[in-house]
Amino acid sequence: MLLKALLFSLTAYADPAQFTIVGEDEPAPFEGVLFNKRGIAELLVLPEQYRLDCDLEVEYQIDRQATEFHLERQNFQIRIDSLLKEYGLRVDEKDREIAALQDALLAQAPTRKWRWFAGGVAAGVVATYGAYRVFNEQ
Amino acid sequence: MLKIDWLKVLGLAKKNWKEITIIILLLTVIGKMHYDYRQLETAYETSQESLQNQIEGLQAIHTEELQKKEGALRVYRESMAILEREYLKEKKNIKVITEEKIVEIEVEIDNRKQFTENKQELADKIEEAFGFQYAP
Repeated sequence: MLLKALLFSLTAYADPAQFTIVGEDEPAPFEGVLFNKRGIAELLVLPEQYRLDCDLEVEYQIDRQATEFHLERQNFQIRIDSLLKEYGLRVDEKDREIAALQDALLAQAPTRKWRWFAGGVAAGVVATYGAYRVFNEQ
Repeated sequence: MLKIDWLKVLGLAKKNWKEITIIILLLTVIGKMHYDYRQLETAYETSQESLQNQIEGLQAIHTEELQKKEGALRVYRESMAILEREYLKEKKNIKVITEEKIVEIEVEIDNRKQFTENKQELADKIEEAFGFQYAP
């Protein structure tokens, strides 16, 4: 903090970056641009400043992308978990439904099928005989 | 006490055996239909119960999914805010570092008298930084 305060106080009193354009023999070996001390210092620092800015920007954007990707992946994982749960639920309920329907079907006397068969044969014989008697009444 | 004349009943039955048979068969068919209807009703109730369970389960799963997604979104927003804060902090830091270097160079120019006695030092720096050729 102290250093920063000192730094800004220094810059507050320092000359601003300035430049001028000089012509040939003005005095200068050729025409060109002349920078003051602050100007040349700022120019010399520029490459390093751009490098730091670039590194920071790259790191920031990568972190942003990583965070977005993480969210996206988490959402997909949540969706997958939900779909798996839904699948399990549906399968369980269908199994339960099938078991209940099977119980209902089994309750329709599959264990007494021979009795039903015998009863059916007997009823058929009686009906045939009855019909025979009815139609031969005359 | 009521006495039943079974002979009369038998005679009546023999006389009306067709009607009696039709009634018995009709009752049998009605009974069977009723039994089948009950079976169908049971099957329908089973399906209905299963569907009801599925609806409740799906609602619970959906609610849980929404809660998890909201949690993930909250974490994402917090992370983004932290990133943004850190980014701005670093940007300020770079500004301070740059300013420090500028002052450092200015001080060096003064101390080393690079505008007067040690021009070559400054010229080397410029050449190194930008690749310009020094023309004294």
